[in-house]
Formats: sequence, structure tokens, C-alpha cells
Amino acid sequence: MKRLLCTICILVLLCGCAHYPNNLRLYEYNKTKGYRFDNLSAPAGADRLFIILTFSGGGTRAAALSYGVLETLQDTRFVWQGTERSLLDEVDVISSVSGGSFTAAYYALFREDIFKLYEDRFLYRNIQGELTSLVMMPTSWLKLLSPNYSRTDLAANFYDREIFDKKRFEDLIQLNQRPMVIINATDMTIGMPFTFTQAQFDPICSDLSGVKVSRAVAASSCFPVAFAPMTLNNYAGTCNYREPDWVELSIEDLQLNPPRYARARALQSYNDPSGRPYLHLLDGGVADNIGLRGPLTSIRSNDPDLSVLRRIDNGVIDHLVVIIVDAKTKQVTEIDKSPSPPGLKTVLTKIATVPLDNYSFDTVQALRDEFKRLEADGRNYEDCKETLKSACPNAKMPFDPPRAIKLYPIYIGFDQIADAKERRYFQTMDTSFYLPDQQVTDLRKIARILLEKSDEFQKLKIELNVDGGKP
Amino acid sequence: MEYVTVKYHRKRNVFMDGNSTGKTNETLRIEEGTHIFDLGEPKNYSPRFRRAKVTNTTQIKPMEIAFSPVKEAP
Repeated sequence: MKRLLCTICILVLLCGCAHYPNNLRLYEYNKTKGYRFDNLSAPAGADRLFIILTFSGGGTRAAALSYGVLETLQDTRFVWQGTERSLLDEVDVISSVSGGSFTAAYYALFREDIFKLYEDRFLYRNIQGELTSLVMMPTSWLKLLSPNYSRTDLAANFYDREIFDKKRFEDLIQLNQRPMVIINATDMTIGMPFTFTQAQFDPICSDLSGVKVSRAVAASSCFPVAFAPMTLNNYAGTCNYREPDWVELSIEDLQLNPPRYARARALQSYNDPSGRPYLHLLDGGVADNIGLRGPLTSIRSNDPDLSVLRRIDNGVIDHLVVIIVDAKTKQVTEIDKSPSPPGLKTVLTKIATVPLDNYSFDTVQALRDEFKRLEADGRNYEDCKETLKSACPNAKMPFDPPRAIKLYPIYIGFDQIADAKERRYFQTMDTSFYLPDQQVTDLRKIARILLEKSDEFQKLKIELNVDGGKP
Repeated sequence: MEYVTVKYHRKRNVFMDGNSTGKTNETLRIEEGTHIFDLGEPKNYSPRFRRAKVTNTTQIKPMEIAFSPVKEAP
């Protein structure tokens, strides 16, 4: 009896000492190393057709919808720069959140094998049930006794073993191929996106290459309350990190350009190892549930490590395509049928989802507005030139126009389904890591239908002479 | 979105806030705010850099940032 008690005590102590895997220290800041867009090799002219995908959160629903988009892009073949390619081959960046991060990370790691393995390993699997069983296991309880080990660490471990084959970001660096996957979590202190890229890890002097991809996906999908925030160690000040030049300059821009100022302040907040020795990450959906804020900033600004605007100025992009895959739902509510005020659960659910949905809507609109502005550049210039010519036939415009590029904003979301019954079917699907097989199959199908129905996608296909340019 | 033309007597790379950002004498699109412009290496131009608060420009009337050539010291 004594021996048994002793064994139990030792087990409890050992498991109670469970600790999340520490992110490694970066010993020397070096912009030419690490998981960064510019460090991934690409054939000459690869930027001419620049494709960004964004995958939203929404559990298996989001993962299946984004998978359906990948399938459709894989089947869209055309001749580009003399060789037959698929549109999927041309994807440069995938920015993902939560459920969408599973598909994005799996594709980045396993490429075309996603079409052989992912359905069994994730999409048609009851991940939710397996996670619940895992939490119920006594060995898990013991681990969870530790203050430094949470349900998110348990889930990350499971994803690592069962889905991502223990791959680390080092494996993505070694693959040395686009697309770059940008997995978004939320820094819960500053409420801004935290991406698993070396540019984000530089200020905390941490080496992303040693981090398991499963941990990034787990951080991206640790929905508040169901999962605990994920912890990272902050080693700021130990790697000779040099702040990008724009950070100091933008401190002057509080009145002129508040978003630029806020980005700079957010970056500087990491350089406080005594005030913030640890960072706590929440589901990426808390800051941006469609993964579009980062790409939007890269289109608006020359500042980010990956700046699309800088590439436009450098004349390397001819066609810019952004495909937003949004698995947003719209739950049917009966609250307006009753005079009684809704209960606490309903109120909390609304508080948690409505602001996020509104924010996502605004972000998509901001991208559309940005594209309209870029398109208007050339038009305004030509109009002005014509006016000048009619007034003074010999006068010349003093400046050349900004570089012209062709833009394709493509939005895939259930609210675009015309049939009300079908729309409601998709909009009321659960947010969970398990969906019935038929629903997963239907999500893959609707992704293809919505993409093919998109006017912008058809415009792109004609431009690229897909199917001989026929819509 | 703001617009800048970096003037120089011939075509060469423009650097803004330390990053290669287009060429001289072209209309460049940039984010509103404070920026530092230079022409990179060789430093055979004057001034060595220009700092500008770029705002209220249009593509018809971009802000002009001018550099002139100087001979490098032997």
C-alpha cells in the first residue's frame, strides 16, 4: 500500500512538472536566415502573378472550405511563362487563422500530398472527440496539474503526433518553396495579430525554426475558454536585434497615420524583457478572424518584411490576386420572438461573435477600397492627360503614372449562396473539430462552386487563358 | 496612399526606410508618413539622404524628392 501511494505521489510530481516546450533563443539576429518570404527561393518572374490566399477560422468547417479552394486551384491549369502550371503552383502566400491554419500548414508542409492524406488525417476525422478523450485520460489530468502545461499544449502535442508528423518550421525553411504560410494567433496583451514568422520572432530574440508547426496551429486555434492561451518566452535584448528603420520614423506619425504608429508601438512592446518576459497567445480569430489584416497591411504599406506595395513599386507584380475564404456562419436566433431579454449564454455568445464578424466585414471592404484606389490611379492619370491635351494640345504630363497592375479581389463566403435553403444549411453548420462526412464533402463542393461563380475569378481565368480563355 | 517621385539625372534604385523601393524618376506609391529616402550605393549623390513627411499628394502631383550627382572623393 505504501509502495502504491509512493508511486502515485512520484507520478503526480513528475506529471505536475510538465512544461510547455520552450521556444528557443535566437543568438544572433540575421535577416538572411529564418522563415521569411524573401528567403524562400522562387523562379525568375515568380512575382508577375502574385497570389495571396486567406483562410478564416471556423474549425473543420473552415478547414474543409479552404481545402475545397485548394482543390479547385489545383484543377485550374494554364500555360504560364512557357510551362503548364496549376493556379495552386502560383500561390505565394497563405495567411490563416484557427481552423483554416490546419489546411494552410498541411499544404505548406506536404504540398500535393495534401490531396492524398489530409482527408483521412484531419477533415473526415473526429478530432473533437479524440481531443475530448485525451483530456479525459488520467495521464492528461496529471499533466494538466502543472501551471505550465495547458489543454492547448495537450492539443498541440496531439496535432504534432497525429497530423503534422512532428515537423518544425525548420522543415519549411528546408523545403525552401512558396507559398509562405503565415499562421496568425493573437497577442492577448496588445490585442494584435501575432504571426509565426521569423520577422515576428526577431524582436523577442527567438528562433522560429525550432518551433513545431503544430504549436503554431494550436496557438492559432486556441479558442478562448475551450483552450488556454499558449505561452512563449521573450528573450528580447539578447540577439543584437536591430529595429527596422520605419519603426522610429513612424513614432512621429501618431496624428498623420495612426495605424502605422500603432504597428510600431506593438513591435516595440516586445522589447521589454522585464515587463513582458512571457507572451500569451490566443486564437488568431480574436484579432482577425479571416487572416486578412496582415495581407491588407502589406498591400497598403512599404513597411512590413513582406510588403506587396514595395514589390509593386519595384515593378515585379503584374497581377495581384487575393482570395479570401471566409467560413463565417449566421446562426438562426429566436430571441426576437420573445419579449423576455435573452439569457446570459446568448448575450455572451453575441458579444464574442458579433464584433468579430463586423470587423471581418470591414476588413474585406477595406481591401476592396484599397484595390479600387489602386485601379483609380491609372484612370485618374489618363483622364487628367486627356483634359490637358484638349486644353493645351502640345503640353506634356510632368510625371509618369504609377505602375499599372491588374487586381482580382475574390471573396468566398456562404452569404454568396443564392438559394436561401442552401445558404442556411451552410451558415448553420457547427464550429467544431468534427463535422459529419456529408457536410465536409458539401463544403468542398461549395468552395468550388463559389470560386467558379466569382466574376473576378473568371476574369483571372480569361486573362491567363485558362480553358482557352472561355468563361 | 501617397505618391513620390525621386528625381535624379539618371535611372537608379531608390531606397526608402532602408528598403529598395522602385527607381528614380518614376511615380512611386507609398504609405502616408515620415520616410527617409536615399539612392543606396555608390553614395555619389547629394544630399546623402532626405527625410520627408509625405502627405496630401496625388498621382497627378506627387511629392518631389531631389538628389543631385556629386563626384566621389578619390
